Amino acid sequence: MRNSFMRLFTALVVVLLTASFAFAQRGRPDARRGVQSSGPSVPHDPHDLSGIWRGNTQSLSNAPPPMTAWGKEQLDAHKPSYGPRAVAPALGNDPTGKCDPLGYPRIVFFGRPFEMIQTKDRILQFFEWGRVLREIWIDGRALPKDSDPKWLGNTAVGKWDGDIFVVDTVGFDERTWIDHFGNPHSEDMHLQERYHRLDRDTLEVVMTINDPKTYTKPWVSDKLVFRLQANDRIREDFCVPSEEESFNQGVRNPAGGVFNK
Amino acid sequence: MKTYLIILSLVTVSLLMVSTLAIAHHGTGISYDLSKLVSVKGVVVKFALSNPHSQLYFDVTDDKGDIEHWSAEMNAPTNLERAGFSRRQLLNLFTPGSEVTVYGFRSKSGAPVVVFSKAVLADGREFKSQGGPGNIE
Repeated sequence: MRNSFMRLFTALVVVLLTASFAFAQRGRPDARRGVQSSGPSVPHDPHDLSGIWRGNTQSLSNAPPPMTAWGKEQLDAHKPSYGPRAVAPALGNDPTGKCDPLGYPRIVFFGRPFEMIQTKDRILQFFEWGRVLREIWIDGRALPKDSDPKWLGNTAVGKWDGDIFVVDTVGFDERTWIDHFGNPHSEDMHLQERYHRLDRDTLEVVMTINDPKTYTKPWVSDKLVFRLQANDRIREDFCVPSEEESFNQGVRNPAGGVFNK
Repeated sequence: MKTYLIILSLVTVSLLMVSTLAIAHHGTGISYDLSKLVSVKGVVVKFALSNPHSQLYFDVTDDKGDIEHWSAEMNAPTNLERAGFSRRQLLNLFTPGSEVTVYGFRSKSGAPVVVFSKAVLADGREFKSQGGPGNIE
């Protein structure tokens, strides 16, 4: 009796310890973000991605693949406020600290919801943060051969592969970070996303980054899970430079030991 | 013996659950000492419902009559909106001139800045953090 109790107790401790460290990792869910449950699921159309979705992952996975020398150089230049290299925001250089666009895919990892809106020729992703609209073309167009870099990617094209909606995007502005840990990418990044609506309330996304200039092999994400926010709506949430500056002066800078920056 | 083991297991499991939450917040409040909750009594100067985080500014007067200007980093406006608070409600709560006791975690730099946990007004009204590194609920 005592032995079996101790075995059970030990197993419980191991499970909780594992959970502790799992939650502390980079790709971990963040309980703060308040993803709501939508109630019992009902039949759904897997080719209908419309709805408001919210996830709580902070990057593609716990760790990126090994970086090239160029990639490491970019990483070293990024001073994030999350993860093992975290510094106080006042001492860092996260682009969002100046209200620069988060870019894609980082905006997915920012904890705010987004809405999927389907039209005849596009699927639109409407992000709450900045009320940003991303266009995914479904009219059969090809990716451009020479694409100027843009914050969200120059062009995103999507097509159905069975019940999986596959999106390819090229032409990224390399000033953006992949995530708030400061992981970098180059203008040559090719991002592929595979969206799968598993049931009415669950959208699963797998991202793959191909960027040989930055990473020595493709970065394949975990299965990123987004939950339907059936009772919510996209709110107004702008990064306003004058508000950011006021916050920096009154709170962020002194909290980080920086005065009159 | 059995009772002892059950108590031991409950205590251990409780501690592990608390540590899970604490570790899960690691990195989010990098500017603040999250190990020590402090309370400061002062007078509201201004509440700002603005991005990226709401802010409460309040003045604290010491025994000599010297005034120190404090600030508290609060939740993002959309978090407060989703929690059901309107701007009018919050401005009515944090009226300039009101006496307030602010609970939070002080900046590691030692500057008079906290990440907000809770405020108690002189009339007994309370307002708590709606999540994030300052949340103590």
